[in-house]
Amino acid sequence: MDTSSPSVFVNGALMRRYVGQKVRTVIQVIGSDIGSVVGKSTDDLQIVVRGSSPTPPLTTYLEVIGIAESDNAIRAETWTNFGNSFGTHNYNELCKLANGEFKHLFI
Amino acid sequence: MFSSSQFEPNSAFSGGGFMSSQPSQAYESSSSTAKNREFQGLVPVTVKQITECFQTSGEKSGLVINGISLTNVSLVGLVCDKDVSKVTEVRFTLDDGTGRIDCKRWVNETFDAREMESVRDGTYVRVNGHLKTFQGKTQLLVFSVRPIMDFNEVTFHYIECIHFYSQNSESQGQQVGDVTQSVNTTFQGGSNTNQATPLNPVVSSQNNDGNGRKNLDDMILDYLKQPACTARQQGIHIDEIAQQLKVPKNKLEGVVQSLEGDGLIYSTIDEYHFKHVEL
Amino acid sequence: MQTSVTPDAISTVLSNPSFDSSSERPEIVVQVVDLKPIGNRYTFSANDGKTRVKAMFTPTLTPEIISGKIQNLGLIRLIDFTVNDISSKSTKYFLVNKCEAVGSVLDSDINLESKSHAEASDPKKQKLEHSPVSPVNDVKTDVCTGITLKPKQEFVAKSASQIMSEQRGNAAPAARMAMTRRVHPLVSLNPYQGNWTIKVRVTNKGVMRNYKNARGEGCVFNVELTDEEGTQIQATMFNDAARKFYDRFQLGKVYYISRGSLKLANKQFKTVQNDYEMTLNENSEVEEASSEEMFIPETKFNFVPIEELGLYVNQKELIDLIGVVQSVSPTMSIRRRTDNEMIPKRDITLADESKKTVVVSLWNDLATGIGQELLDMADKSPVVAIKSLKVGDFQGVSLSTISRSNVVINPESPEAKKLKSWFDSEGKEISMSSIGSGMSPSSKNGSRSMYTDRVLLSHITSNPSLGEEKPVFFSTRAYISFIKPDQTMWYQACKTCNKKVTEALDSGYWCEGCQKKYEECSLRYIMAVKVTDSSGETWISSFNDEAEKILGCSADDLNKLRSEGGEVNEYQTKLKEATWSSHVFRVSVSQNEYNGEKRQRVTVKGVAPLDFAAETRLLLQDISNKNKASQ
Repeated sequence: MDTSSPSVFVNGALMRRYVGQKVRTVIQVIGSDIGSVVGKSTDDLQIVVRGSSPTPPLTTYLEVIGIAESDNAIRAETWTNFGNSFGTHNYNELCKLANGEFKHLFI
Repeated sequence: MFSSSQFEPNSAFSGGGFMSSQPSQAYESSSSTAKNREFQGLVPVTVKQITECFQTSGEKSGLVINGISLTNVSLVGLVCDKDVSKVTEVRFTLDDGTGRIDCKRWVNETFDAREMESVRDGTYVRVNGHLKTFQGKTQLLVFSVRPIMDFNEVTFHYIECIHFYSQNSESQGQQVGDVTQSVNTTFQGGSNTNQATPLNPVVSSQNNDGNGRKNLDDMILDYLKQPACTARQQGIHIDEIAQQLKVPKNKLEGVVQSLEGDGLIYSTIDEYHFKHVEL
Repeated sequence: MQTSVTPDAISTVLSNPSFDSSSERPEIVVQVVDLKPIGNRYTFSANDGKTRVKAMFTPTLTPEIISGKIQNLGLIRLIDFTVNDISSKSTKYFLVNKCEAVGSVLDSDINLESKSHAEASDPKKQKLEHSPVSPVNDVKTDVCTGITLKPKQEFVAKSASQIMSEQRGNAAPAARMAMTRRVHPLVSLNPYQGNWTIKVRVTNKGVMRNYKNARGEGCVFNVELTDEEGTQIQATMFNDAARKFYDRFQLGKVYYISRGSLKLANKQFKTVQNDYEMTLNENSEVEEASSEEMFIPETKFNFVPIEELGLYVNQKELIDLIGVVQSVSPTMSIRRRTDNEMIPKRDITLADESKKTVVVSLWNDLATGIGQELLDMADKSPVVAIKSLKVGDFQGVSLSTISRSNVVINPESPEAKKLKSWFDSEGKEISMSSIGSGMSPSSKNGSRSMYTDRVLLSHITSNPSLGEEKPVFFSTRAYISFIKPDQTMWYQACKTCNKKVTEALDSGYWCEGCQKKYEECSLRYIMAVKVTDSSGETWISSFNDEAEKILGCSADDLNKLRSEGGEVNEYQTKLKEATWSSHVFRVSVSQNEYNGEKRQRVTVKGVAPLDFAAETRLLLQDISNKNKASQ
């Protein structure tokens, strides 16, 4: 078992706590370009994801695991299509719990 | 004190402040089962939890979490390093974001082989299995590996981990921080990586009470105390507070409620407008 | 100039069915009261001083009303009209095709009731004797004479306004002023118009809130006003106005209001459906309407089908619901956290044509009052319409009344009729599922709702006496952990009655139930399944329908796979595929005698796949409850 390199659940607001660290988040894709995808976080903030995006087509929701470059940009390592229907409210609650009272279950 | 005495029972659902004599609690406490030696439950966990209880409970006593021994566990994560070099078993690592754990799936039947074929590196899966510790190494002997189809299951799994932990933790005294305020705890221990990030002036002007608890309370009070706000007969709408303080409204609501409960602010013309109580 | 009505005109007309069709009918003068527009026409009550009848002007008369020729409280001579039935009630109404205004507008309603003795003493003069042979002129003269020439009939000699001032001497001038004006429908108000009067019922009254600020102390309260058409508006009063009107406004009473100001409502948070909200200051006029001017506000509903409730979960928006009552719980007492007060609560389950059910929690007076009424009549499956419900995510989807909610039993509306006839014809037969879970909560499964009694498996297994007296029901979320491949799994069943059949000696199958021999039979599951959750595990038995859902194929099909055997055992595969998938189970727990020993038996009554988003919400709720409780 290895817990040395966790990726923290974040929403848009939590990103700035983890700049330079590995994070995971789910975005609603707003637009994509060569080498980057712009999306909306589960707390309605804009996030730019850089890195070679996954093979199209992208679904509405996308999970991104990567390094937080700034408080609104991630360099992606892993992309996963999360489908076209996803409970963002629940995910946002998860982000808050996983960085609050129950942080120790995660990082 | 000045808050509305109008009863909005839905807060029973959103706030959970009611103790019902009926079994309306969605889940009964399961602490009675915790010490059951025959325990064969399937416990939702994160890899981090397994690691921690492995460190604290050691090999002999088995893995125990909240007094419940971990035998069968359920995890969700990404498959990596799938190894099919042996005929009778498939090995892989499951990365659930909190850590990585070695998994082994015996392949005895057609079904097992088929199931493992559908799983590749990078596939999101739910894995149910049996935790085995041998010579200091913990391994998951896998019963089933099922690709995630509905990604709400990912959220569900981690929330279930939290739920299980919270329902079975005997002591609530060790709670760290306050969920509703966690977003603002930018200076809290360790994570100093954001120092270079320019903070917005409202947030940086917050008081820090030294316990890492940022005082959203004070921010709200300070805002409402401004003459421009106290002069307004109708009070200030919560949306405006949210906008001005640049804090998401859902973060505000809990704090506003507690301020109202403490009699520091009161709702005016309706439940969304507030004023500061001047004494 | 005509100064009063034709006495007893209305009762005479109503008691002579042929009156309106008679070509030689006497002239009738009535007073117009409660004039108001409905669509492109106006309705009013025709008042003859003793009796009132609902009446309507045909649209051709609308210009005369707009121009002011026909006015509220004015007198009109009916020239051409018909008497029609109101189908839903046993009352009638006048449809006025032609009329002319006579005399000036009075400043109140005419009421001759107090003089009924005098009237009775001279029936010849007072009663309008309908007789086809009596010439129109005679009647007219008679009436006019009665008013102007015969001093002994002083009651008619008085103008109606005089009578009214005697009767209502203490009524404030404002009230009479309000009444002489045409009442504006609430829906027509905007911030840019000057004089208006509305006639509204107070359908919700807030508490007086006090506050202190830099400018001193103050107080504020608001009311929710509903007019006859069901349009609602919120009105707020501060300080002097609040003090002045707080006691005057009483819940449920009807008022004439003028001189208030309107402004745009905050749409996001409005509690009533109106683009505007009203502010009343101390110069605003608020006068209670007399009892005969009361009306029942027709509550305007905007029903949401149960299956669409999911869209409203945890939104600020309140919704209206109509449904057939499936079950009504006893009242429970819930302790309010803020002040430890015990609050009565009652859950009712409603179903609608979307074949879904939902639980509505009634609180406070609604639980004890109308809730009790519903309990008493629950077996008759009444229809209820509820205005203003909050949609929560407890149990997936749950509804809750708030202080301004309004519950109407068996409303007389097309929606209610449609729903009732649907329920009577097919709804009561079909099984419906809870919107929160997608599982069957029908009464045969003994459930109140899918989530109210959600338990962990350990709750069942740790209590061996559960279900001793009668079966108890729970819902539980669990994984299937094992399906024994070598169990009996199914039985041979009669294709007609599903009962077990025996193979006949020669060929075919004998059904004891039908007392008949059939050539074929079908297989029906009776399958034992091991389930597990985070608390433990147990065996459960499932019958045909539930087992089919678990395995995803019929017993006959599975039997074929089993008999095929072969290298790739598809039978085993089916069982394995079903294993380690999770479901929400509805189970009954009972005690069975087995070889003289009592054993707990858990039977699946319903099974549904997980709705992960809904389950997550449920868990989040629980986590938040636990946190609150421990703080």
